Amino acid sequence: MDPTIAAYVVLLALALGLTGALRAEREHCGRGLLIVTTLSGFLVVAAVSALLTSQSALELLLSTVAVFFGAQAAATAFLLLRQEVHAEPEDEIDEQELLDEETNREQLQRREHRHDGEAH
Amino acid sequence: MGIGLIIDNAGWFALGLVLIALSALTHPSRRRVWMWALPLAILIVLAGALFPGTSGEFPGSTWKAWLAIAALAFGVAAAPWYEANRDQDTRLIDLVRGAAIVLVGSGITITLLGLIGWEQTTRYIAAWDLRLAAMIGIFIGVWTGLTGLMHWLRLKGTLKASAPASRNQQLAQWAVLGIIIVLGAVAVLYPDLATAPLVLLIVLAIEWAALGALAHPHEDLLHIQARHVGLVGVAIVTLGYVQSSLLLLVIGGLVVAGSIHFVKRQGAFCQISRRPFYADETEDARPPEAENGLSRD
Repeated sequence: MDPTIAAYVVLLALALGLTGALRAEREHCGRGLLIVTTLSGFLVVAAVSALLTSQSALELLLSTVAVFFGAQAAATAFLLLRQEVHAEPEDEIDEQELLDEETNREQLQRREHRHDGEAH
Repeated sequence: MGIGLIIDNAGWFALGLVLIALSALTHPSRRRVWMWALPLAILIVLAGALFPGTSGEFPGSTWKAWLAIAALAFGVAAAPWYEANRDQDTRLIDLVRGAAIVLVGSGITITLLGLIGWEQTTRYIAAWDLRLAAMIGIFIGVWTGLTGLMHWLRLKGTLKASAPASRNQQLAQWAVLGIIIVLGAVAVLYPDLATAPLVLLIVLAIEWAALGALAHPHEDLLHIQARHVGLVGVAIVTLGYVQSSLLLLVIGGLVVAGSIHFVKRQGAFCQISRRPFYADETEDARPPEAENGLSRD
């Protein structure tokens, strides 16, 4: 693979993760960590492809062990994420929603004042 | 068709699913069912790699596919089970222990893949970039796996934490890291002479990882594990480069980004109860008087 293309792709993914896809308020950062730990389960894909392309008995043995441990790590990470997601309190109000609500209320009050001013 | 293209064929669908799931899961009001999209994405790519159909070029590799499926099934069965119950608070120690198991498994996988990559690339003198990727993988794998193992043994009570390193010990540790880098460079540039430097590098990496993990303060274990998750992301990037897979490159970048977010913002968890850490749970637990001064993140 061309190293320049690889570097661009990695930097774009890093930028995507840092600016948007994984941003969350502090209370949910733990969930973000468990999400990416689950994503690291894609290691098992690399292990499986190493197994499929193995050319000797040693490579076959090592890659089979790698698939086993990769699958164990991926399953453990997902179960931890599942536990975290299910622990989310149902009645918790999102900070962003509160802010949006406050902004809407302020806009409504401003509009009402404007209407009152025009009526007088 | 190379293995990277075979992975990426199914990988585009998986990547779309992952990005939608990330968007949904990082917003607390969205439906929690989206978490199932992550293992589904992994399964889609696995299915694409195991059964590439007419585009595959692995004649006679059907038995390898079944061997991979058996290893996958045994690996999933061997994972510890965690209950998902809203009414039951988890202790931080359980979460740290679970993350340690993940690091052990990921570390072993990365080390073995690095060794396989090394074994394949030493045949080609010019492939120094692939050897460098394999070397980075071996180092990260040993470091991450050993750190996870040490944390797990400490939390089990089998190992006791050592005192924080003195200045001289810290200098010695940095010197060991310097030697590891020099040995790695020698092994990458002179593959004919690489066996002895590679073995020595692995031994020194074990020493570097074990001594570091023993001296980690109890309250920092999760943050250190988060940093190692970032290192796993770097290893995924190197694997993506070696296997020419854009999907693995993107996933590696996302994993590094998630780790940076957690470390920088001192993230918290919903599942952990609000009581002090570690009291009477391990051999190197702090006394309750000292615990009272600690506050949870």
